[in-house]
Amino acid sequence: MTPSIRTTAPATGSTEAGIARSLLLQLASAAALGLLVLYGVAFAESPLAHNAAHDVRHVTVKPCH
Amino acid sequence: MMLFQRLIGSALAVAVVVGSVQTGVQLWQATPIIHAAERYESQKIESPAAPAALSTVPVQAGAHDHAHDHAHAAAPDWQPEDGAERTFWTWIANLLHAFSMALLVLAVMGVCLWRGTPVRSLPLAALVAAAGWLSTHFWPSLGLPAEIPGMDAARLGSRQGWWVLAAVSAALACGAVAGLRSPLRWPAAAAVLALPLIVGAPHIAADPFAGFSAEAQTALRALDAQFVQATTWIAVSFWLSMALACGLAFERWLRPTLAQGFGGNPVVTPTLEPKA
Repeated sequence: MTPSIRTTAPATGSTEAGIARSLLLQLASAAALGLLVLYGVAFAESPLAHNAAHDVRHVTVKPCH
Repeated sequence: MMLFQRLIGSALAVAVVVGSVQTGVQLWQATPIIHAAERYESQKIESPAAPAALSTVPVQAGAHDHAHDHAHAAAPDWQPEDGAERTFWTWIANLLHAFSMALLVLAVMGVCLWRGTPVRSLPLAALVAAAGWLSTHFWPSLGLPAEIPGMDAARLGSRQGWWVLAAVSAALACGAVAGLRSPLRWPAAAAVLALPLIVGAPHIAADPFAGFSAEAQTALRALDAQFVQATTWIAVSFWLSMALACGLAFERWLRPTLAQGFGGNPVVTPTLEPKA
């Protein structure tokens, strides 16, 4: 019933905490990338970004020009 | 495979589905309104001296010295041709928008799992998507409703700042209600939610349609009302499809890895080894 990782690789408390910390860091990195992409699509003032994403900015109710 | 790669892959899969559906819904419900408004936009009465004063001079009631950025008077910037090219870039922008939101939704779902939530993937995705709708659509729209092209508005930077304030406030309120144990979280969330409303969204004193003829103003006001309604339903469709796609992607590609790394979760039944 227990996952096989427990029997084949008995982990100490500190490595379990390390794994959890690594996963949280990766979740945070994904969220940061999400915010960066959102900025580029919805907020970047570069005319190129604005013109390419113009209709999407209007439809998703972002301030546009 | 690393969790980060799984997150990227899951968000891409979600983005292709949600972004493509959104492009279809927008072409059907929103693009005709945008095109109609743009036909009037070219009739706008602009002051020829406007470009030099752009965004540094406060907008005065009645006066029309606020140049419209669409013209980009100095050098003509690239913009997609109407038709297939414009639709293509709208699709790309929708993919990127859905990708960014999917990354945020999946990351928040991961944090919920770390905090030991017993909620299954699909309802969890629905809860997080509801928070996403509140934070990035409903709350900012209370102060800055959807706008059709051609409307005058307060300075772009101040509106973007207020938008971010409203979105962050709503997200913090959701986080407080979901993540804190104290009963004080409810008044705290209400206070944080109220903050952008107390600050107040930036608006100009003048009529946003002041630069148009009376006939065009009537038509544009009707288009604007239609656009507010269309964008409301488009946002609902965006977050519903986001909830569904993120729920499925999280269950299939992320939950097993996360549950194992965070010390197991009683709700998860690993699908790797089907029990005979």
